[in-house]
Amino acid sequence: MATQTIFRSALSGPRLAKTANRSLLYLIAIAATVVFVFPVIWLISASLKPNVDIYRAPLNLIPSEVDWTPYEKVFRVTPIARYLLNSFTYALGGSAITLFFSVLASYGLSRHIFTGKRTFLTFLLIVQLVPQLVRVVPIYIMMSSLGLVNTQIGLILLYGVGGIAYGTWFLKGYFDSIPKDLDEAAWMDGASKFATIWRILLPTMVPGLAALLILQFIGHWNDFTTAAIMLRVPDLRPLTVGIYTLIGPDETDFRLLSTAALVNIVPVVVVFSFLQRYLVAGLAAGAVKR
Amino acid sequence: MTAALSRSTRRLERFAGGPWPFILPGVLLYLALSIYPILYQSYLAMTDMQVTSLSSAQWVGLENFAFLFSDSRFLDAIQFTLLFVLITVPVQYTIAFALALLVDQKLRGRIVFRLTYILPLAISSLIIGLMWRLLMHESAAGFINALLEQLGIGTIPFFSNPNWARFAIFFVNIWSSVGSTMVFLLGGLQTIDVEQLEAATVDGANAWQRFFLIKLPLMRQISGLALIFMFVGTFGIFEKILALTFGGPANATFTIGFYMFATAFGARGAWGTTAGLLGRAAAMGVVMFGVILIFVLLYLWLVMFEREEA
Repeated sequence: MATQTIFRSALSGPRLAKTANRSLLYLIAIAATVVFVFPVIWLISASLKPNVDIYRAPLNLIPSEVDWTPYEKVFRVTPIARYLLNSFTYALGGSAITLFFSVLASYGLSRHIFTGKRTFLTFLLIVQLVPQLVRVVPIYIMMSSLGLVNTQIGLILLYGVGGIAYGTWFLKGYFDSIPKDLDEAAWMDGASKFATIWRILLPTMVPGLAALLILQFIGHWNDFTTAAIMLRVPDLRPLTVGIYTLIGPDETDFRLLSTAALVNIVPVVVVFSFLQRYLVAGLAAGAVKR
Repeated sequence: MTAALSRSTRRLERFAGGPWPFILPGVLLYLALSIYPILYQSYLAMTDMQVTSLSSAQWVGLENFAFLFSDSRFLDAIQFTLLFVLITVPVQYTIAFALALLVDQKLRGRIVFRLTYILPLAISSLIIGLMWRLLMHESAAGFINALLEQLGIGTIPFFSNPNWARFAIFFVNIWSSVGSTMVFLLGGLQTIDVEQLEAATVDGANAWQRFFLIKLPLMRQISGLALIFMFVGTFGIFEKILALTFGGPANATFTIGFYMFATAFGARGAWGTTAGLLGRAAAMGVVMFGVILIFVLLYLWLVMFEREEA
C-alpha cells in the first residue's frame, strides 16, 4: 500500500505542480500547522512565564525567565499526582479488558462464516455511533444498583466493555490479513484454538494490538463525562475531572491552569507523536475496509 | 431418542466449535452496556426517579415529555444544537477535504503536516475547552485579544457576547475534530484508482475537472460515513461547552447534552437547572437518541437507495 501511494504521488505530484503554485500549497500547509500546534505551544509558554509576564507580555512566547513555580505548586498543593496515577490505572485497566474480549470476538468473526455476519458487523458499527452521553443516566442507575458507583473497578469495567465493538472491528482487519493456512498448520500439530490465537496469530499482529491499546488508552485518559458521573469521591478522580475542579469561578491563575492542562496533554501527545504511523494506518484501515 | 440426542449433541458441538464462544462473551457484555441502557432509559423517562431516591420511583407516564416540550429552555437547547450541527458540519467537511487533498500531495514533510492536523485528536475535549478559554480570554492575558489589541483592531468579547460565544464554540469544535474527518477522507482518497486519474489527464482534464468529475463522485460513500460521524458527534457536544462557555452567556450556547447532564448530575448549578432529576434527564436522553436515530436511518436509507441505483 505504501509503495502504491508513493507511486501515485510520483505520478500526480509533478503534474499538479505545473497547474498550481507549489509554494502556495506549502504556505497553506504550514499555516494550518501553526493553527493546530500554536495553542499548545502558547500553553507551554504561559505555564513557564513569571506571573508579571502573563498580563504584561501575553504575546511573548519566550518567557523573560523560566519560572517553575506553577509546576511545583500544582504537584504540592493539588492532589494531581494522585489524579495522574488514577488516570493511568483506569486507562490501562480499561484498555486491557477491551483488548482481551476484542481479540476473542474478532477472531471468531474473522475465522468463521455465518448467516448475517455482515448485518451483525454493521449493527455493531451503528450501535457504537451513539455517543456515550446519551446513555449516562441509565448507566449511572445500573452501576449504582450493582454497587459499582464510586469504585475504581466500576469505571474500568465501563471503559473496557465500551471499547469492545470498536476493538473488534479494528482487530478483525488484522486477523483477516493473516492467511488461514497458519491456523490449519497449527491445528494439524494438535494446537487448540486458544493456543493458536495466543502463540501463532497474536505474535504476528503486535503492531495492531499496540495501536488498539494506545487508541483506547488515549480515549480513556481523555474521558471526562463517564468518570465525572461514576466517581464522586475526590480521591478517585482522574486528571480531567480533577483539573475541572481546579477551575474556579473565574480562571485567575492562568499559570496553574496551563500547567495542570499540560500534565494531562503531554503524556498522550508524546505517545501519539511517536506512534502516529501505526495510529493513522489503523484509523485509515478501519475506515477503508468497509 | 438416540437420534434426537445425537442431533442436540451435534448442535452443541457445532456451537462450541463455531464462532459464538469467541464472539458472545465480549458482545453480550457490550450490548448490556450499550443497547440495554437505551431500552432501560425509555422506561426511566416515564418515571419521576431522582438521584436521592433511586428505588422509590413512581410511574408518571409521559409527564416528563410533556414538561420538556413546554419548556422553552429545552426547546431553545434543541434548536441551538441543531443549528450547531447544520453550521459546523458542512464547514468541517469542506476544511477536512481540503486538508486531505493537501496532505495527499507529494509535499516534503507531509507526514509532519498530517501529524499536526490530527494533534487535537489526542487531547481531551475538556482540556481543549479549557485551553481555548485561556487563549480567548477577554482580559489582557488572553493571547488572541492581546494580539488584536496590538494590531489596533480592539478586543473581541468572546464569552460575554452571545454571537461571539457561539462563534467561539463552533470554531473550537471544528478545530478539535477536523483531523478525524481528514483521516477518514484521506483513507478514501488513497483508494482511488491511479489509472483512472491518469486516463483523465491524458484526455485533457485539468486538476479541477479531475477533482469534481472523478475524485468527488468516488468519495461519495466515504463522505456519507464521515458526515454521519460528524452529525452524531457534534449533536452530542457537551464537554467542550462545559469548559469553554458553560452554556452562556444568557444560555446562548446551551446544548441539549449540557442540559441533560446538568439536570441529572448538576454542573456547578448551571442557571436555573435542578440537579438530580434522573427521570427528566432520561426523557432528554430519549429525545437525543431519537434525533440520532433519525440521522442514522436517513443515512442507511440513502446508502440502500444508492445501492439499488447502481
